[in-house]
Amino acid sequence: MRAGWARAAARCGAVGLAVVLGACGGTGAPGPRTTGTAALPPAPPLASTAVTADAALVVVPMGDLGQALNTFWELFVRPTGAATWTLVTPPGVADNGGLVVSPAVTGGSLLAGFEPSQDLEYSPLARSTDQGATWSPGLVPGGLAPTPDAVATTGSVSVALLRRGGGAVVHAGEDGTWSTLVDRAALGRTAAGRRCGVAALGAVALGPDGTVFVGAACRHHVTGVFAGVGGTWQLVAPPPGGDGATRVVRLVDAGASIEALVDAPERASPRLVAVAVGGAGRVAVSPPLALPPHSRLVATGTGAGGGFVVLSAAPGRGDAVEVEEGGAGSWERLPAPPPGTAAVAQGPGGTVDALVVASTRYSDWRLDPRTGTWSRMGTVTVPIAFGSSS
Amino acid sequence: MPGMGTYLQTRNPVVVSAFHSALLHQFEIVLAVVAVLSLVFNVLRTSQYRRALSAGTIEAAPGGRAWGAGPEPAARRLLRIGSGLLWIGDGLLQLQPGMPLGMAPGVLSPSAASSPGWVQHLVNVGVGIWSRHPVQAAAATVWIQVGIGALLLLAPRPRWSRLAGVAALAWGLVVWSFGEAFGGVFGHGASFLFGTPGAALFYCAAGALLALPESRWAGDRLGRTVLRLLGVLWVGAAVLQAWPGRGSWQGAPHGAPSGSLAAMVDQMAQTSQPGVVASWVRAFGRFDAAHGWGVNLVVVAALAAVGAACWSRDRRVLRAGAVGAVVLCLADWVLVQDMGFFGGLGTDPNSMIPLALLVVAGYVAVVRAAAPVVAPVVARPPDPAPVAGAGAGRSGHDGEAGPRRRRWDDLTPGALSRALLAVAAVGVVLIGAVPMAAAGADPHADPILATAADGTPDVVDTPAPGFRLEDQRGRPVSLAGLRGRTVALTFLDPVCTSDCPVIAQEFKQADGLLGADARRVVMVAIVVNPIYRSLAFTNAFDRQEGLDHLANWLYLTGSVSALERVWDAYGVEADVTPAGAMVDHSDLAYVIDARGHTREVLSADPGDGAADASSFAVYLTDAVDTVLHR
Repeated sequence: MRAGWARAAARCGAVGLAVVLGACGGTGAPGPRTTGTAALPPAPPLASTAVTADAALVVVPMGDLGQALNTFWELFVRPTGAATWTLVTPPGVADNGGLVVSPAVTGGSLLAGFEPSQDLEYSPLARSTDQGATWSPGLVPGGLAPTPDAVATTGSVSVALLRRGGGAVVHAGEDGTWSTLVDRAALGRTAAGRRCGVAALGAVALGPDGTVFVGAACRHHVTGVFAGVGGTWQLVAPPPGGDGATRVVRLVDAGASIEALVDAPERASPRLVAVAVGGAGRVAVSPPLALPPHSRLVATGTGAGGGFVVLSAAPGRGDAVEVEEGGAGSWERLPAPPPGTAAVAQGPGGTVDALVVASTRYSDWRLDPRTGTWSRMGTVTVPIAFGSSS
Repeated sequence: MPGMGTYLQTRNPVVVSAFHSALLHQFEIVLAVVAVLSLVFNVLRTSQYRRALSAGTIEAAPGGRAWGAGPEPAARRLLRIGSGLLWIGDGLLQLQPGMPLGMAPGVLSPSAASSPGWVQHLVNVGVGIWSRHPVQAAAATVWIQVGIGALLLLAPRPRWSRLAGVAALAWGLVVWSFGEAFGGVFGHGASFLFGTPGAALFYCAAGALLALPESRWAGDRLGRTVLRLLGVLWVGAAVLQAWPGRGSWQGAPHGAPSGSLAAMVDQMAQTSQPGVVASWVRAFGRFDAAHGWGVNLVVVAALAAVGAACWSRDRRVLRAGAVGAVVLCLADWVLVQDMGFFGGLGTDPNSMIPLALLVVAGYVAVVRAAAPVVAPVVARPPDPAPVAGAGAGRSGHDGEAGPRRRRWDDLTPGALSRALLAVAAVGVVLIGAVPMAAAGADPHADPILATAADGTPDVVDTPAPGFRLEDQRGRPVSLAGLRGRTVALTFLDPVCTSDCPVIAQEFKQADGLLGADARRVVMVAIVVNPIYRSLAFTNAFDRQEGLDHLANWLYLTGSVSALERVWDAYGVEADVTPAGAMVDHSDLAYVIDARGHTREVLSADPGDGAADASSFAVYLTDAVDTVLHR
């Protein structure tokens, strides 16, 4: 009796061990490293900056940041050569849900999209051809995805990333009619999508020749930058390093190349790499920027001619600004920005501005590269209508 | 203005006035019921007198039959009277003017805040009913609780009195589940001292005991069972209170967060209450802050000791346990529960008073156990002597001649009046229960909410300003072209994030409420955004709100100048506000009759809740219906 019990226990133990080993992937076949959805890097913040040959743009949240309905997203522009920032938030729509703005590389065109908010489920757009001085209304067929690169434009052609079904890319030609190019499920079914293990779509960009690029969060250890070429979708960048799932944080047209900022965490800590995809299949990957554990991105920005600027915050360490000059170059850490910095803009003209927000006050602090100190250049008081959306 | 929603204050005068009117109206019905029953009483007594006179038993009447089965056991009487008074007290607390608008957000929702989702879902059903029909629900609760209390106090035994117990049990369960979120037993931080497992559960227990046959009160078995169950509760409370990590052992040391008891007492001290009580609460709060560990040790020991005593077979120990329980209950009631009704919208004296009542009733049932009831004791009047030629009716005995005796002929005046008062009490319960049931079945909110938020509509009879715009399909539409149909008109921003989608839903709902009359009505909205005004936006808005298939829905737009003319003519402001705000515009609705005359102007501000929106839909429906049939 006792021997029978022992045999049964041994059998149970063996089966249990096999199950555990199986669950741990002990007999797994070779393939891309896979992580669960929970291990995806966090979605990027909407606060962003962009610099073109003509101007620098900043999108930051202002008002009472503790209350969603009293948080308003504001767009400021500083034309090249101008000393001060001007509030150019497109009027006519409540932007408590968020505001995303994409500049055309040249020509002064801006395409702004309003994120859905409260009972408004679709996203109005606003277009400007004069750096935000005047706007004309537009519309996408759905709600924009909550990501800084949810819209992109060349001036005549636009793409947008909608939030339905984990992301759907829509495209509008010169006639302004939107049509769906691909969605998360369809992209996930392609060969490239299967390699990525597409968890969500997170960014869109337009190449100089009209090629549509899509950035994704990948469950597998792959850089999720897809290019729509000849009716198919192809991954265009090598793995980004790190040890798990990845997410494309930014994806922009830098003129000479499409540049992506990719979060490829290592040991659960954020780890950023810049990827530059040039013509003729030339791809460059920057050295990694390893952020301290539990860091979070506060804002991201793109520089004129490429490159990224990243504002991050780490518990107990304060805020940090890191700059990558473009072409997947190396990262440089700038002096700690002033307290309350909401975004950092790199340019125009080689300047670096820290934009500090306190309720309705927007202050511009500029870095003196010789002394490494920040000096306040000016303050704009924004006429926020508190309570107008509640 | 969008985003400037009208938030109804708890003591909104329109709602309070409607609440008082409803109570007065229902009180008049109660008086009428009492008057009718008084008449019935007199008729029956006269009938008794005449029959007794004709039967020659006039002296026998005063000593006639009383309903019941002998004297009521002392413990049952104590529990019945105590419960009756508590229910009446609860009913009277429901008379507070803030009850209609304050109950749902101030009492019901917070009670479930720390409970799991399914409890919150259940409580939200009650919140929804109360929010949609605040006046009906508040008035109904008054009458149901006063009626149950009166029934407990007045109902003749045994059956009616047991029925009162069943009524108390049933309504207690409703209150416990929908009103108290099961006394917080499924929530985080539940504490016996703060009211868990809920006052209504003790009301239910009392009701269940009163619903038992009176024979169960004979002997001490029922009393011991009650005390043992309560003993389990006390010991469980002691374990919960002693459990580490719940903050019970912590006072309020300097610089450290307050323990749970210190925090509760501190909160109670903040509420408005008589000065004497406030000074006691503050003094206890200071003592607990300084000696939190010691206070909790005493509390745990006392709870455990009372619980253990409740299981004793020794009557002296039982007495000590009962006295200890009552002292503990009173101390907790005054020092921690703030007597239940001070500050905010107190709806009952919280858990300690009904708990103390149960303890005392259980103890009395043990020590004053009645002898087993063998058979009902019926005091029959002497059989009336047969009277020659007194008619062919039956007396109480077969085969005997004499006037036909009725059931009430043998009742004493006291028993008869109690029976009729019990009928009156049932009537009072029904005066509350019937409207409450009707409110529960009606998904549309009372228009009183819209009136309270937006005021009464302006009734006018002037030609409505004309307009010529284009609808969502690009077809030209003019007001003159709509002549012959009633027009419900409003102004909506297609990219508005708050009020406009709600107003659109109100119009859609009103259209449904109009039923067949909707064929004679056109629901019209005019764009009130000078920037986002193209057909693309009106169509996107219609799709978003499910209006694209509504046959009589028109969403009109036009050039900025055409729109501005219409806005000016209808007194609608539309200001483009910078810095990310939506277009600031008026929330107005007009009802235009078939002749093209404006008949009603309504403020369409949807307020801050679904109930308000539903209320406006009913309000708009009423306005359109009035104009249609004027």
